[in-house]
Amino acid sequence: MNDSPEDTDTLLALIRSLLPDNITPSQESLLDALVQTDGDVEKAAEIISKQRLNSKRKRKVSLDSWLTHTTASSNDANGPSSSLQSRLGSESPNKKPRSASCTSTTKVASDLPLSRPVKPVDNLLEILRQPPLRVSDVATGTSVPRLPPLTLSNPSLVAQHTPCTHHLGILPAELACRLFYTMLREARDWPRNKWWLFDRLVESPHRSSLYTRHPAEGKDEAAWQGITRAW
Amino acid sequence: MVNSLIATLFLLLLHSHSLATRYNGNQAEETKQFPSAMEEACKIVEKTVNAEMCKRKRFPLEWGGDPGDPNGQGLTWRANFAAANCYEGAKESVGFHSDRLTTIGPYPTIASLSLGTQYSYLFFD
Repeated sequence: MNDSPEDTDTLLALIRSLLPDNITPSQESLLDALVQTDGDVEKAAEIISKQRLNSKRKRKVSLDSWLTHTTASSNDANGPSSSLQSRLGSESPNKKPRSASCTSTTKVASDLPLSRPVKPVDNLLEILRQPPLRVSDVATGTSVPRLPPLTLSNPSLVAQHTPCTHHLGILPAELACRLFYTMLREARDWPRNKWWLFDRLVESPHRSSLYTRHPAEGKDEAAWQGITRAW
Repeated sequence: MVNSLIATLFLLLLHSHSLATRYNGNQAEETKQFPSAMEEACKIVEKTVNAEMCKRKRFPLEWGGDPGDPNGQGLTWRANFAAANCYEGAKESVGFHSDRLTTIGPYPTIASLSLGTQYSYLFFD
């Protein structure tokens, strides 16, 4: 077959015909294999089916070893048949089977030679949960530490910790008092904000209202009235 | 009726740029104007705020005042709008929230005037 001067499309078709039906490689990997084997379709087909096997086995072993916390080298001994399910079944034969598939794999797994003690996997949630917070993470700032609220009881503390300044007693006592009672009287008519939250009409536990300053001189009063109506 | 013995008022004074704007998406039902006491207080607050702003580095997109404002008196920050909030007692409080104000520009300066009973004010970022 090597001697026949076939065009690339024919060669690709030949490789496909040599592969089992369940293997459908991409055009690129077919071409790669062809280049590697210098146009030998049989060798190319062999390479592709081997690649498939390898990648399959790799993926299985890596997930398996991650879930059971074992080293990669010890996994090779058991091969691809040592799936998580079979291990789950074999390590807890006395326990109630988790599912029908578990019981069916128990027999297969018990036939395998267990060359090492394996920690039983009782709760998958324990393995799959978030890693615990470590002191080193906090130090390097990789995760946000939960700190209690910082109490800023005087203006200098406010200035130090926030982009704000705190001015105590900014208004003369008489004006502060007058403003307080003026606004308190006004507040009787302020509405409580209402909005929809998860299909329920909720009401804010405070009253609020909006005020606009007296229109500046030179500004069209009608236009200014329009502004506030849109708020 | 509002009980003056336990009430706390927060008056947020700010500068709004846009004419077509809404506060938290709600249409205000009527136009209210600053009462005279608030106008007086606002002038004092403006003076203090502008003095503080002079000490600070300004951000590139921060509002730099309106030179054409005849009432501006050379002030960079002029409040033209107030959101007034009244809390009656410790039971009346709102949790962490942020007001959806899109017309006050980037890096807005907001003066919060607190009156009445002592009240905890929590910020987070």
